[in-house]
Amino acid sequence: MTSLLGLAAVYLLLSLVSVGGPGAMVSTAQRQLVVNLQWLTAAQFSSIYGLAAAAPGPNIIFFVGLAYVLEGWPGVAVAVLCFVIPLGVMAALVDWAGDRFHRPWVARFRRGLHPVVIGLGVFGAYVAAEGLDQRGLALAAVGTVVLIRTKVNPALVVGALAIVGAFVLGGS
Amino acid sequence: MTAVPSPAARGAGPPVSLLRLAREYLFIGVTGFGGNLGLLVHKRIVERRGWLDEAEFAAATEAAAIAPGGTSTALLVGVARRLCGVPGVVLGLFCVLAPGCLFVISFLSLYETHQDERWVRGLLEGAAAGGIASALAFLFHVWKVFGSSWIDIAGGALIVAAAVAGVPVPVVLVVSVLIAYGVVTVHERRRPATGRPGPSSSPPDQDRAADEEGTP
Repeated sequence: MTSLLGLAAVYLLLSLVSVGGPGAMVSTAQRQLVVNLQWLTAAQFSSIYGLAAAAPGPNIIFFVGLAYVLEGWPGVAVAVLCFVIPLGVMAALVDWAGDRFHRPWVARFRRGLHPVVIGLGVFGAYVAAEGLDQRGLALAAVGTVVLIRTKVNPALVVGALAIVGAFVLGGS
Repeated sequence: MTAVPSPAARGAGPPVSLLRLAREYLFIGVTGFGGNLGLLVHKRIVERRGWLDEAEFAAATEAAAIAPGGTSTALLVGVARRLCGVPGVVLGLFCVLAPGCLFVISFLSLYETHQDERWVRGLLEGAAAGGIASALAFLFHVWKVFGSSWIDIAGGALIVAAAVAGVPVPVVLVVSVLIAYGVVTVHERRRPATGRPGPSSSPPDQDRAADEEGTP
């Protein structure tokens, strides 16, 4: 049984603890909303995730969609107030702090983040790829090569793969 | 509209007005399919507009990796802050999120009635594949900007292995940052003064300034 207050508490928690990119965010949300609270079924969760992946904009739009399914427009307002705004503020603060403190230890810390950026990014792609079959993974591989080897706009590649997916993945 | 001075010491690029930032973020919000927008943000802000240089973009990417929330969102926030300060963050976030939110909310009701159709599922899977491709291509670009170090690949692989094995991501994050910090510190102490400089996203003058500032 959902409530606006409960949703606010969950989203506030998500905004504070979901460090580490989309993979960490989605797995945390899945554990909270599907496994612990059982507000959504796993199938509902996957459907909304797929729809959000096909939507324009950053990954966090997925969480606005979840809130809309659970509580309608008031849920969207809760998502903005308790999720989007807090993480926007914290992202700005972290970015500001990185610029403000030009110390040798900060430079080393930033250098130490390089494998973390790469590792957590790949983990996010891994989590997103779990719902794809072999043909979907092949499409992702082709898209990656095209984007690395050419200067084509990524939005065009995503759109092209969506159309190819509708024919190839949906045709069997 | 008046151009807002950048809060960061920007190395290159013209002043950016809130209107131009809003227009660019709206474009990214409308055309940025696939979830991970890092590559698109780089193409629009660094390559096409020249509003940030590679070093600043790399710094924003590093900060975005440890900020709560999605990396793309944190990166967009960081870029907007560097270009137009707090007003840029508020306006940019609204412009980049509003189109996608309207799309998802509008199509959620439509999706309920069409979700069992094969072509709809194929379309969504294809879009998801595109999002993954965009994310991986962005990481490849970031790796090159960071200096193409194989240590980053090895460290990244260990982090992926730990996260896939079920270690909570915040724990992976803290432990890996501490280990990486130690490795970088030891590497810098062993590096001869005249030797080849290690890979760094910071421009040389910035590193020098940092060293001077940190010297007692």
